Amino acid sequence: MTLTRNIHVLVVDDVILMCDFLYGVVNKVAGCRAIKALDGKAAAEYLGNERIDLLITDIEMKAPSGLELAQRVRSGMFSQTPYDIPIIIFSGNAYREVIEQSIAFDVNDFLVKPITSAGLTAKIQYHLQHKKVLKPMSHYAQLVADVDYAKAIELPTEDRAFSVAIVRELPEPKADDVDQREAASKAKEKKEKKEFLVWPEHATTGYFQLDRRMRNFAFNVSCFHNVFVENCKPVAIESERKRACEAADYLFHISKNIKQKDNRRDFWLLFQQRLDKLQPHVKELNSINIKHHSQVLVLLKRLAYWWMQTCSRPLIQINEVTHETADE
Amino acid sequence: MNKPASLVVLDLAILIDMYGDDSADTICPALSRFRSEASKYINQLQHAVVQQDHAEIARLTHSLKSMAGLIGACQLMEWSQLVEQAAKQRDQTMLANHLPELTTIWAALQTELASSLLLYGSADA
Repeated sequence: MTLTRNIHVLVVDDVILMCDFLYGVVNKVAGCRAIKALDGKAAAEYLGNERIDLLITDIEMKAPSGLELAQRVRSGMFSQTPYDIPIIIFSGNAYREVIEQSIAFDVNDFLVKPITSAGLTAKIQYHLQHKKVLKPMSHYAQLVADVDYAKAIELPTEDRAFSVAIVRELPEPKADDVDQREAASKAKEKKEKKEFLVWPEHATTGYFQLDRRMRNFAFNVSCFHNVFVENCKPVAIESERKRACEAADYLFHISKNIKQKDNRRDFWLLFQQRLDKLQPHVKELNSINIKHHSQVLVLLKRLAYWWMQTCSRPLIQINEVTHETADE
Repeated sequence: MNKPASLVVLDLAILIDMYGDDSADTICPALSRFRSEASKYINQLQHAVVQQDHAEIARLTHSLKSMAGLIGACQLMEWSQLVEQAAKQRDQTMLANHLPELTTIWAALQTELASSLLLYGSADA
């Protein structure tokens, strides 16, 4: 479907490079004209003085933040911009509070960086063609006005827990003596050197079943990597490739099962995004010709990057209660 | 979490994937702009470290993380992630461990940026 109208898209990010990237992506979408703002204040001026049809904003900026902009839009505080425009917000960090607020204010999409040009284009086209059902403007205005709510929606401070995480850390085990600690440290270093993908020690997604599948996936991809770079016999490489793909399938399968039975919506919103990004890599791993050495290396790099992204979300503090379900 | 040093310094495949374009017209301006912008952030970061301004360290590393992720500067991105978290948690030990790594990571990245720009025929190399 082609967008024929001249759609004004406001992109907001306080990092110039990122803002320019967003600006370039939006201007390539048929029918869209991008306007860029490098902070929330400039963005608020555009929203108040021009009719904006779509808002794409980063969250973490000096006041007003991206989330505050979204709240003001939904509350009808901007005279020129309708309250029901699509809003896409994104961030490098995904805190539970922020996701909850995004849901409360019916933000159309919450994206976690990195965002590709193709991914963002698809999101823009989707949200311009699919209208989200919103509550009346007064509902959002009431939310903003509610002092208790306002207190509850403060962005996390240094003293508060990082409450949403793909991975969170558990307390370090207490070694009885220095020798034990040193031995453990050496073993860990040795293990990390050997493995291509490493599941951080004492880390958990909050689901032991998922942790196990993640570890299994990391192990099998590492095995594939090792036999490939060591130039082992093709039959060994094929065998490890098959195991790695199976491990990925198990991961997809167990994720789907737990997701159906669990209501940690914020977690699954993020984790599903990560799985969606993994799908094409696994498909490629399944079909790639192992004789094409450079292509396999590129794919391995992509898998390593995916792994790094997935295992490096903000960590929850040690004293958080873990959410575990037993579905196996 | 991977150690920054174990990751590639600059992965242009990521940049190409992010921008959806592998032409020199896209790659060269992105790399040049990144080099110029990141230098400013790193200078500010060094100042914030001297001032022991944790909020500013977290803010700057958060931005550096975004920029590095956009162009495929994997080591710098991972390092920024570690330092951002340490700063938010005011973890002095973690900061003391990781802050000195920036010099090496940034030097390696500058070398890679220069060679990539040269490879793509940029006058800015």
